[in-house]
Amino acid sequence: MDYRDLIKQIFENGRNTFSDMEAYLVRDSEKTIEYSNENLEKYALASSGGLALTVRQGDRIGAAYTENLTVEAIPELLSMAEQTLSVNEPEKAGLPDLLETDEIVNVDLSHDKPFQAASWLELGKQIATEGLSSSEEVHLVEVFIVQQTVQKLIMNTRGLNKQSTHQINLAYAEAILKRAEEMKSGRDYLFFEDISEVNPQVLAREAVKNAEANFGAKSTGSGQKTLVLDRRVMASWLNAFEPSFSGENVNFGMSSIQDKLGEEIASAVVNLVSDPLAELSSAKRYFDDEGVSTSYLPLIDKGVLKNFLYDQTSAKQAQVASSGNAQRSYKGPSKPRAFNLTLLPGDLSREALFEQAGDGIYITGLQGLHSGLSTISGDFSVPASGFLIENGQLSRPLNQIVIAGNFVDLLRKIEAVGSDLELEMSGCIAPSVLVRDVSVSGENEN
Amino acid sequence: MLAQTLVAEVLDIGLSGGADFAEIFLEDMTVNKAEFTDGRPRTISGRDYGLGLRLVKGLNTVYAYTNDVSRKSLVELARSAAVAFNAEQEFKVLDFSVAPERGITPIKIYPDQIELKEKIDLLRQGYHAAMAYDTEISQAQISYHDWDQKVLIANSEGTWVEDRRTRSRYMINAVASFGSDYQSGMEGYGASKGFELFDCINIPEMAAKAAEAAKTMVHAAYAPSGKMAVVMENGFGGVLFHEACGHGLEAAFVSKDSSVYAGKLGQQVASPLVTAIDDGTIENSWGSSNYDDEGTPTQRNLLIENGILKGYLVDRISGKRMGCVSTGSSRRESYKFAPTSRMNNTYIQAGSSTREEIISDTEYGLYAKSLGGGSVDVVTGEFNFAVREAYLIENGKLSQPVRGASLIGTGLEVLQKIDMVGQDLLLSEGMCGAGSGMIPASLGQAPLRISSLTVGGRE
Repeated sequence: MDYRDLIKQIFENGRNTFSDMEAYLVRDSEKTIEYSNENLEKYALASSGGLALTVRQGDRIGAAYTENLTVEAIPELLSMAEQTLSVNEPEKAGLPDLLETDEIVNVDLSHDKPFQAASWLELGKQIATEGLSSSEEVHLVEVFIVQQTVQKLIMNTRGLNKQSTHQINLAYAEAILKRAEEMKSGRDYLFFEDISEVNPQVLAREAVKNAEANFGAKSTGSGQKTLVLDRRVMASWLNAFEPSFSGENVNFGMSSIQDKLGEEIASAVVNLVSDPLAELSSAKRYFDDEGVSTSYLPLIDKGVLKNFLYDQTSAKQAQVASSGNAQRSYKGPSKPRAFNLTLLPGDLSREALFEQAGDGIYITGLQGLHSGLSTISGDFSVPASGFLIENGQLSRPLNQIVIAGNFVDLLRKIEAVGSDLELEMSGCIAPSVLVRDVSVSGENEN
Repeated sequence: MLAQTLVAEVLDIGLSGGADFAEIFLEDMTVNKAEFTDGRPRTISGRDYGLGLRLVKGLNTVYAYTNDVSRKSLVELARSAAVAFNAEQEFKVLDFSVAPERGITPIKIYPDQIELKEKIDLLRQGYHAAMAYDTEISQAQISYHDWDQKVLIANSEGTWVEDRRTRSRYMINAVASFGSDYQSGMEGYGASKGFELFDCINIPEMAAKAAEAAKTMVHAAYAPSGKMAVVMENGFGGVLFHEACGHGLEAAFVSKDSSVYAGKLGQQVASPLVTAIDDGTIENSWGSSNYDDEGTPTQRNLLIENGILKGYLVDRISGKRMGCVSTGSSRRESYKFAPTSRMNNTYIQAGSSTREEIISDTEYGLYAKSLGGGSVDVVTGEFNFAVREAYLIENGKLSQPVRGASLIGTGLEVLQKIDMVGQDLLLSEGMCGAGSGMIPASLGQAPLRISSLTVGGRE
């Protein structure tokens, strides 16, 4: 069945109960190849999806979803939506207007390169072989190659009808090395459009090299230190704090920067944007998950907090326009989120950042970002690993330290921004940065 | 949920490509989620529905899933999965033997027997109680979630398990503000229970506890920095063992020799005060179930006894690799995930010290009262977890409150440093994320002391 017809049928069946309806349908198809050494450990084929229905009656809304995308599911879906509508209370500021349009939009950004099982399997095995043969110490190489194709369809009873298709291809390698009793792991990954872009040797050796570099790592003394945060670390740290910019959290009084609009919250070298069409990203967004057109949105401009992110509901409550940043899954309501959150690059190479740092720590790994920070308080305390920087040069590996501080406080201490921009796994894009005076907890007894 | 003849047909097609094992996991789950923030509820109800097919040949797995469980779609799914093995054979599915009911999670009131309105009223009650606690409480977020999952697990060896897993959870997050400082406090309770969950919740008390924590923390100084003795409270304090050891005992890692605990059975890996257990059969506990996600009955697994490593958590495939049987520990988030070895309800058994003894015996250190989540690198054993609410211990007494910080260490080292274990065992609920998705898991311990651990504070 054409999913547009399914949605039209839902709208038809619900017409007498609800004044308006909105449907958000996702189809997700995923192919995964997993090698553990040269053994094809898992080959996964998946196709799934779900449909969320938002209904309106007067100033109330109700919401329900189903993963059963057939006409049989319609009565239950409408009844669940009706029940939630009966208990949800009107929003303070009222409901946002529904998008009204006659234009049918269809954006297809899937690469014209369908999944070819044979060549992908071959690539997976090659990466494993390259990894295993690159050092005697390699104990295990785990390889994932994933293709995910996501199709979204957004329709409402006022004519909104937008569809988009995105595709992401990722190759990932993790190497585990053993030296005597010690084990270390290292990883590398690459987003690609065509399989020919993946050089199995480069990917595997980078993962092995990253593992090798960690042997002999130990902690260091506590104190206020100069840090160079690697681009991937910076991206994942920014991504973890991204909800601070959510207009909904600001409305609810649950963002540590809620009262700082127009104020300096970062050093003058910091420029942070939501960039729906970011060149590095294959998840380019022309409209958000409510069908609103997206735009390039500066969040921090030369250190000054310029904008928060809004979807329609949070915008209505704040009495501003939606910034086109709605993101949702079919299992929950929309939330304002950045698209391709990007820290704009400066002009220093990473080596130049080390040089400018003098003595400090190059942080290449952060853990516990899901638990060690709060976007309500802005506080963070997260375990880290990396390398010592001595006289502008990398020296020994370092682990078992914790870096701690506050979101705004760290942004203000950024002294320089690198030029080595990269798309990180979280979807966030950042260069490496140099930061002064960050609390580091290490081995010394208190 | 599906006819045995259809399941047998699908499994047969699955085997036809050369697989030696075929399994289906069918799931039909009704969900109600409600959140009460800023004075009003937002509710969504839904239905998760789909089937995962797993084919195994030796140590190779093909996994496929779909939402479309019509015969046509399932036959097609099985065919496309079976060709991956590139062979032909004539294995047949054995006759199904229907597994008996076990009654580990008896439910008194299923979620669909209660009107949504009644659930929302409990959220409203929590919201107003938290907001009324103090003028410094500036926001509260109360959430309620119920899951009513029906599963069918059937495999080519004749396993046929139909089970119903019902879980409910209620949580209060209170935000306190003082000047431009904001801090939050969290309390909650979840179990493999229906609406009778609320027989065990005193909402005003829970709201007051969350609000009190937020208010205390907004006036607290930063945590200290460096190595010190740490006294961890019971309940979610179990995150220590969960991260420092539990994940490392999962056979998915052990069987590949990529865990620091691999090859250490029978060896002293922890202080003699540590006896640790993972038990999927605790009645109505958050992480319990009658059968695991491969259809094996759950059981009580002794992991560490008086510091000696006694056992691992094993699923079918890793078991094959290691030459041992499943311990009923194979779990998955949903039909979208192939199952693997995971924890159910994991805890360190109670010891003999009182909480007061542990604190008064500590000259200087950190008392970690409320704990957050954590993570671990199983390969190196380096773990971390977050403390949300803490107090300094000075001269054997609790002194000032200090704000949250991450605590870090390596498993083998820290388990040896547990030098006092208390009497008051308590389990708490969490969501554990790993290879087979996010699953509900309980963790627990009595209050205990670690003689030295790195605290990631700022002072």
